[in-house]
Amino acid sequence: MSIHLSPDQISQFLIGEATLEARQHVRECIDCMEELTRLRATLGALHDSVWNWTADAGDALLPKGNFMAFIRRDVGTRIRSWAVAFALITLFAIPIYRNVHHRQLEAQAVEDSLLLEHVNAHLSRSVAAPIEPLMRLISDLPEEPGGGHK
Amino acid sequence: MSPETKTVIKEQVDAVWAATLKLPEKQRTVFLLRFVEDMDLLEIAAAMHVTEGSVKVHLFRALRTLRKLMESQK
Repeated sequence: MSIHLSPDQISQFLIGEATLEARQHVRECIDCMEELTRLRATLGALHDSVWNWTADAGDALLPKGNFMAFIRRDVGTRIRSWAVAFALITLFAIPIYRNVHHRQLEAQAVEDSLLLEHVNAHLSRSVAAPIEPLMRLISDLPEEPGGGHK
Repeated sequence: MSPETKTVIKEQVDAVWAATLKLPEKQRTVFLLRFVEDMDLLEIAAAMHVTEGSVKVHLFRALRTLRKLMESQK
């Protein structure tokens, strides 16, 4: 490998995924070796800085102590947020659903009553609907003295 | 360690930490578990309920992003 390691190759080195070729290059290339050493030193300094964090440094920048606790707290906060969101949705959505459902029931009741009136009107006819005009004609005719129509 | 060296290291740590805070959540978590908690990749995978391959991908992306962020801060 004639050129220096790319940033991605150096990142692979840091996570322990470097290729044999890259390892060989680092052994021979002072620049890449220095770059890796510098990055490892920076990460080591970060590690030491977190672990040596003093109590009076405050929580604003770095969470104190075990990061797993920090992560668990983060997950716990997220679960609580979802629970609150679910509760709020339930609080608001159920009354809205009930209101809509109630309106639908009212509209259905009005429709049913109209249909019932229509059915009642149809059933209360003395004769079938097609004969009604004929019956009106007959009823309009003047009655003869002997009874019956002309 | 000389005061100058201490100052340089502190600046580097501040830069890394500032860049770490800008990482996406999973990348940040993996990065901190690896380089602060000293957990190996399998332990991180178990803790986060992901595969080892996924941990490697997040860690690789985190390092790449951190390097870019740190270079832009220079």
